[in-house]
Amino acid sequence: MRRTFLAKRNALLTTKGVSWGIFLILLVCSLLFLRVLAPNAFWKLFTPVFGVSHIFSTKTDAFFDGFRDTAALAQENAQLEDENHALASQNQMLTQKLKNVTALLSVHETKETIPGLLAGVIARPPESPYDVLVIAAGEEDGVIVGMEAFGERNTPIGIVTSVLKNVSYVTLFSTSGVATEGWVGNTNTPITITGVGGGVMEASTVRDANVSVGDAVFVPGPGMLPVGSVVRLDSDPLSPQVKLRIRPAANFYGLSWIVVRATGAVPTVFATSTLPL
Amino acid sequence: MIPKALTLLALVSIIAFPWPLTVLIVLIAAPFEPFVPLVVGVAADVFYYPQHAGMPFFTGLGALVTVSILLVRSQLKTGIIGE
Repeated sequence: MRRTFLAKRNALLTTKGVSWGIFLILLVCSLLFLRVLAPNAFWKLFTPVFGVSHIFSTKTDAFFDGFRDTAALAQENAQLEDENHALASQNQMLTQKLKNVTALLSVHETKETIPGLLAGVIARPPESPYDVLVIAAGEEDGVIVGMEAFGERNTPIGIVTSVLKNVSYVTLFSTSGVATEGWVGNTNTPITITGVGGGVMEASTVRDANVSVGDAVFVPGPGMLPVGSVVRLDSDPLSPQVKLRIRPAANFYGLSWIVVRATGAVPTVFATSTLPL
Repeated sequence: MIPKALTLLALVSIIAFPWPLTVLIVLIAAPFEPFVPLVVGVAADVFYYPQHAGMPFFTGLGALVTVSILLVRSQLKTGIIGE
């Protein structure tokens, strides 16, 4: 009797399939080694790639936004147009100011702590699954761990948690598990703002604090800096506490440039996170 | 050909698309290429993992999905799906 030789034990896991998988693993391992052994070279190599992908992702984001509720989009569009008109005139003035400030910063560039350092954003959410910004400024530019990062209109967005030679990581306040002390509302009720990931933050306060939707949320800095606003209140009638859902004032998804600077007092407490300051 | 294209798309999506879309592409590609979740998970951590942030979450998740798919495939009889 002739024996049938079964060449493949599993039609799904072919030898060719395994070799392709192994090739992918080798590829990603080589990237991992480059990232670990020469992180600065890694980011220099991939910064242009991220630049191109950002342009592409902006277009894809616009595409996916098209699936959102049209009425909400129209309302948002009208609001943005109003803001756009108001900002257009301000923009011209600021453009000139930016030139001067950038020149000023480059003139005074030292290894010492710099009051404000302009840095381009290489990678940002939502491409980044972690709520982390990768910025094109590092140790050589004067960035140190613990500096605070600011977005548009001087809005605090996070803390520098890791610094390489030319690249730094900014952990956003919305990072899951990151807790920040702050205040909410006109009465400046103290709260602990906790990141829940996906660009969202939350906090709890007593019901008697009379916090309402739209109230501004502040974190310490030089004085009190607005970090976001309350967009929803979740309350259980049996609980004396009310949960605040906070939307950040800065749009993390659209950040191209940020400013990092040492604010003196460290405003952020990484209470439940393993991230060091 | 399509599985390879899906694999490459999953890798590109790490830096070009929002991460939920990357997860979707990976889940589509995974039955054809079981190592894709692991590879994409490692790649995502290579690019975005903040140093000293504890366990690299996406590598772990990718490894878990890959192991699950390999286990499922090992239980399948030859010739049901695929070539």
